[in-house]
Amino acid sequence: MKGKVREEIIMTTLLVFREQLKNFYSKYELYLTPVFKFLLALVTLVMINSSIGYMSELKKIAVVLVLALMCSVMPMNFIVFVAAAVTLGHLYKFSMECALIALVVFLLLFILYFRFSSHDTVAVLLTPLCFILKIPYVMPIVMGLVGTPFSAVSVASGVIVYYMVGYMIGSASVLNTFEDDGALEKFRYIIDGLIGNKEMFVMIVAFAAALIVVYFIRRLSVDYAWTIAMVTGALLDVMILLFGDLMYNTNLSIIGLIVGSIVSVLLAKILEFFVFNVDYSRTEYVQFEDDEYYYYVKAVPKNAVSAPQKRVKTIRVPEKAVGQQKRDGSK
Amino acid sequence: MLNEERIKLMTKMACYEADEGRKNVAIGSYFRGDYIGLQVIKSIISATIAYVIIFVMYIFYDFEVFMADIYKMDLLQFAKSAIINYLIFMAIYAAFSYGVFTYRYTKAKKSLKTYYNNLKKLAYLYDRETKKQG
Repeated sequence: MKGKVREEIIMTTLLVFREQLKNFYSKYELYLTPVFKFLLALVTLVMINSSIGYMSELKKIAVVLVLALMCSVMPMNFIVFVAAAVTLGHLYKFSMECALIALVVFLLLFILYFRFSSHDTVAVLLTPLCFILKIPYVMPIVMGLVGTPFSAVSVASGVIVYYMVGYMIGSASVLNTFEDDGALEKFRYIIDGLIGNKEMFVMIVAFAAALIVVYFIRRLSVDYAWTIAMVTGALLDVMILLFGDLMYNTNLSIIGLIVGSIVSVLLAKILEFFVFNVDYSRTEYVQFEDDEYYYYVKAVPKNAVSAPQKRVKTIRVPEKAVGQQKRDGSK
Repeated sequence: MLNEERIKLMTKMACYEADEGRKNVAIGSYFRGDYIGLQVIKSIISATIAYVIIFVMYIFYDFEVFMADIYKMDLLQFAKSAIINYLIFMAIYAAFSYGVFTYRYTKAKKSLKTYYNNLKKLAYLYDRETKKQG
């Protein structure tokens, strides 16, 4: 009983915190969004530089900061563009052939896919980042929760980009053994390696399946649909990856998979609580005119001031707790 | 005199136009056939570029074999199969984009319904105002 009370108190505190966060965000949305974009761009660039930093010019702090600052004021997709360009730059310094293949992959993605879903583009960027952070399993779950079944293509593209760059860097020593005029052999070696990368294909299948399952379950009209979707998605993901490991011997770290999946579900749960289920409806600044006036309107959402509601909850819960504590004390 | 009701309506509409409505308003300015046709043509162009890239990569991958065989093989047959593959690829991609953009157009039109209603309401409010003044 005490545990339950404590749980409820924690829940109330969290809800209050979320409310404050929401108020804070809707108040300073104008400044917070660029800051978030800047941080995302910075993290992305630092990660790219630390994992494939072959071109020293791109690794300079000034360059990184300027690029990140540019990203903060540009649309979200610009970060993806910058990340792709920086990756290509590093790969070009590393080996021309690698850069060419990467360029072709990026171009094909851009031409064929991003015509359809420009708002999903950031998933292509986030998937490799999550891979580097060892929690790639969070991507299908999160994209299934917020995206559409087509997001599976974005996540799959992210997986391809990660494995492609990883394979290129991983085979640096082999590529160096080719002669200078062995461009064709290098080219063939990399393409063979990419097409023969079973781990990548198993990952793509697992992620796509998990994402689609998460999407369909979270749309069901049952209680806790989101939580059920997360857990089912993660389980399906684990099962397919384990099965793939058995079939093709993909050298999967099973402990990493299980721990990563648990962490991913927890992360998705946290995101659900703080991000997806909250309407961060923001203050809008619009301007328009009629025959007589120019209007510069600042529209503040009304729900941003709902502080009194919380108090009701905190009072109700401790009532029980106090009674219980008294009884416990008299014993 | 400021008309509060009208300003509220205009603000709502401006918010819609600035946010989710921007794309929808752009889509809504086309006729159905024009919009979908234009998008499918764009898709066909994209598919063509993509196919050329893939084809060049394929030749490049097997460059040595290709160069050695170039006098032996039936070039006409090769070209024929390349073109057939291209047509299949393009047809699938175009059909897919036709589906996607038809769906998008319908959705945008639906979303614009409220917006158009608000426009009518706005016109009515204007009308009333001018009548009052006149």
